[in-house]
Amino acid sequence: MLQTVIISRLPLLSGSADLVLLVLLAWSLQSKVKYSWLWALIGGLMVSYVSAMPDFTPLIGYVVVVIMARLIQRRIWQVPILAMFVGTVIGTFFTHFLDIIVLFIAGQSVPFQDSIAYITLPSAFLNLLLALPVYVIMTDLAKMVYPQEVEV
Amino acid sequence: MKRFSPQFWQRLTLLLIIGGVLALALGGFLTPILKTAFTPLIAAQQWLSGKYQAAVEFFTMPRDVATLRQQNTELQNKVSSLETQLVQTQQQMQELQVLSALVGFARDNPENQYIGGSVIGRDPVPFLRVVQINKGSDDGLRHGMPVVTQQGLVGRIDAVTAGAARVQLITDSNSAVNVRLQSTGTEAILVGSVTGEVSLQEVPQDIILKPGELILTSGLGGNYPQGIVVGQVITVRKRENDLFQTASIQPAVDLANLPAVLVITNFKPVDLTPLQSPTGQ
Repeated sequence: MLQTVIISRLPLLSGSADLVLLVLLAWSLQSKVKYSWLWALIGGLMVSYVSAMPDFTPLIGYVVVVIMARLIQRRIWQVPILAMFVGTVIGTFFTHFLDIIVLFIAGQSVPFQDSIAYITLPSAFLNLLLALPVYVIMTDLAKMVYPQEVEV
Repeated sequence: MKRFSPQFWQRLTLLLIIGGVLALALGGFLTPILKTAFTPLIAAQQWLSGKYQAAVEFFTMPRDVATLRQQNTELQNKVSSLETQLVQTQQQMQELQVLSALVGFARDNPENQYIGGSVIGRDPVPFLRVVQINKGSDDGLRHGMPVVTQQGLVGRIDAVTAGAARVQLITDSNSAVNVRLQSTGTEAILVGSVTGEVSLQEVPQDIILKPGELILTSGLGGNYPQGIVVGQVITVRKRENDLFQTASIQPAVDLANLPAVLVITNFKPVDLTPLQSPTGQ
């Protein structure tokens, strides 16, 4: 709801931030979270229902991003914020490329250079701006949901 | 004869003195003496009373200050509440202005039937120019119905649920509107793009396009009623080697800030699918 009502109405050029992507990414990068793919399914289905994109494209994009996030988390586990930024950039480019391919297959003309210049790059910039606060919030949420065990 | 005792004479003398003093006081002859005698007493009493009052205020003032602070807080809360009500009232006034404009447009065009809806969101995918409105099939909306405002064409219904609907804007890359030039009546096609720009396509080379020219719906194809304002020509691109010339169009409606829309419910889009051959020609 935040995405459709607020975030999508704050464009930069023609791009906008993807709050669902950032939340899924940040949640997947938490070490104690095991079922982030389930949230990717839920978020992807909800966005696919609301969006006019064909054939569950957002769902596929978010599931792949979550899988990628788990791989990144294993490799860059010492600097999780860096993993968040890397995942944000890769996730944004991947979901947008997927959108372009699907729209091309659906018969819409999507000029690649204009899409990258006016949509993908501004969207990546906006996502990077929101990445850090979203990661902090999700980290705090993970600590509340999965409290640290203390040995007595 | 019994002689009076000395005590008797003492008491009598005392009584006479007291009576004399009272008589003189009642007569007003002792006023200056009394005044002189009581003035220092009055001054002393006044001084003592002032000190006492200061002591009383010293012990009671914190309660008064606390009461004042409480009243101040209550008044500040009341001011905040009134400011909030003022902001809400201003917002309602703005909404009223928008709705009044839409109602005025509906009254000026009585041949159509309208259902008003508020824009409640935009598509989360930035490649699509689609908005959501808070009216759906329960309100009589159907797929393909044109959507307008008092300024001009917005788009058409793309998908409908019971309580909401998706509106594809004319700036969407998948949108194509059959239009005509107001001045010459020349027909063309208005298409959107992923960046939100709207352009006029397939305009014959012999037509003179001028910036500021008004574009209206032509009604061809049966997707939109004819005569709805779409936008104005901004720039013209004309090349000698091309079959057609193109132009950039400024939509009449500010699609970036769209608070409310009207859906034309008595216009049924024509379905040309049965007329198309199986090969698609």
